Parts: sequence; structure tokens; C-alpha cells
Amino acid sequence: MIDLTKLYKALEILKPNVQWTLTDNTDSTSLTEDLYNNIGWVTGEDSNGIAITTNTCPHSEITWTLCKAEYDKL
Amino acid sequence: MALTTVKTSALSGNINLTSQVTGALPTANGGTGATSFAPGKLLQTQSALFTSQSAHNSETYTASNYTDQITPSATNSKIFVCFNLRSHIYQASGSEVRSQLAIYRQINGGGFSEFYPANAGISWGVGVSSGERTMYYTPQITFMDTTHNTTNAIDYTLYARRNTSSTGSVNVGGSSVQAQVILMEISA
Repeated sequence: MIDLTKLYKALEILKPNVQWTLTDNTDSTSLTEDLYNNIGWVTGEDSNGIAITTNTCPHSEITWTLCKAEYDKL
Repeated sequence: MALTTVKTSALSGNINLTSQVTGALPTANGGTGATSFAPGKLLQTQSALFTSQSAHNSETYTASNYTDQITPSATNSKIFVCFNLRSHIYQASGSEVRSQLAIYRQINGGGFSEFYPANAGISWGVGVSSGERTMYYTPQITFMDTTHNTTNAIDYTLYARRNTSSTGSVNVGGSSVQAQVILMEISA
């Protein structure tokens, strides 16, 4: 499993206060592009107070390459 | 209380319990003291074990994959729900982070809504003026569902979020950490 706090720090560097969710079932301790593509980026809220998410990152400041680079630096 | 009677015809050979014994065997003699059988109240149990982790860095609730399903046999039975898990939060320097945990319920695939605690999460967090912190918490969330009124499948799922206006990372599970969901149907 990856270090979720490290991923949080990496994404905060790229875009402070970005909201996201991720479930990690993997054995890998390094961040992979497959796992990155499973990040749910919060775009809104439904009537039950549940986040609406998309797996397509809507933030131009964040890409797989930039995220991986920041993650590996930490 | 009626005493147990063993007919004299049973004193030789085998005792036929259906015809040669009447009354109640006292508890002091290994009996129940009852003259009739009262079946148990526990009708069924379900459980699921998890070793995954999830991040919930959102001010609105997002689902973990800690979930389990039970199909009650009666509309008026009670469902005992128990989630055992570990949560951890990371707080950046000079900030405060607060986590909210809640159990959402879905009946017959009709969509999840917040169920316990109603309209409020189980809140915990940390805030210090300097330095970063990671804190761990192992909540056991237990409650009784007495309002399902269905014999359709019921799903219970852990949701989590970061409290509004706090910053930091909210997570559940982790490497080498097990979580378990236990559901029990109890007769009314």
C-alpha cells in the first residue's frame, strides 16, 4: 500500500485544498499510474451529502507526471 | 413451577422423553426451569474483513470500501451493526484537521443516506500551533437499526470526510491493519 499522507502532501503542493478520495487495495508501496487514475476528484455534493466525484482530474495544475514527481521527492 | 415427573413405567429400560416425562426440570438439576421451548433471538450473522485503506480528503462524505449486507427475515427484527476499524489523520504545521465518520445505509439498492449517527458524524481531530502530526484512532462504531422495516437487502457502509474549514489528511485503514464489519439480525 502507498503512503496516503505522502500523496496528500504531493497534491497539496500542486493545488492547495484540492478535494479527493482514493481506495487502495494494492500491495504496491510505490504510486502507480493505475492507482492515480482511481483517484476520485470531488466536483460537488448530492442531496444526501455525498461527494460527487470523477476519475478525470478537472484541475489543470495536477497531472500524473507532476504528482508522481512530487510524491517521489517526499 | 411444575416439578418434573418421571412415570414409574420409565424406571426400567430407556426413558421416552416425549411420553414418560412431564413438567419442568429445575435449573438446580441442570434444567431450564421452563415448561416450553423459547428459541434464541439471534437469527443470523454476517461479517466481512478488510485490509484496504482509503483517503477521504473531501469536505463532503466519500465512501470507504468497508461495507456489508444483510437481508432480514422479518420487517420488525433488529439489526445490530458493528464496525471495527482504524482511522488516522495528518495535520500540517499550524493547522487543524478534524475527521468525521458515519455509517450510511442503503435498502434494496435504493441509494445510500446517512444513518448513524443521524445528521452528525463521529468527530475527532487535532490542532496544534506548530509542527505536523499524525494521529491514530481505533473506533468501534456500534448501534441497533430498528427502523429498516424491510425484508430486502440492507447495505451498511462506512463514509468519511474532513470537517469543513480544517486542513489535513483523513484516512481509514492502512498497511497491515484489519477492519471488520459485523451484522446480526435479532428477533423482535
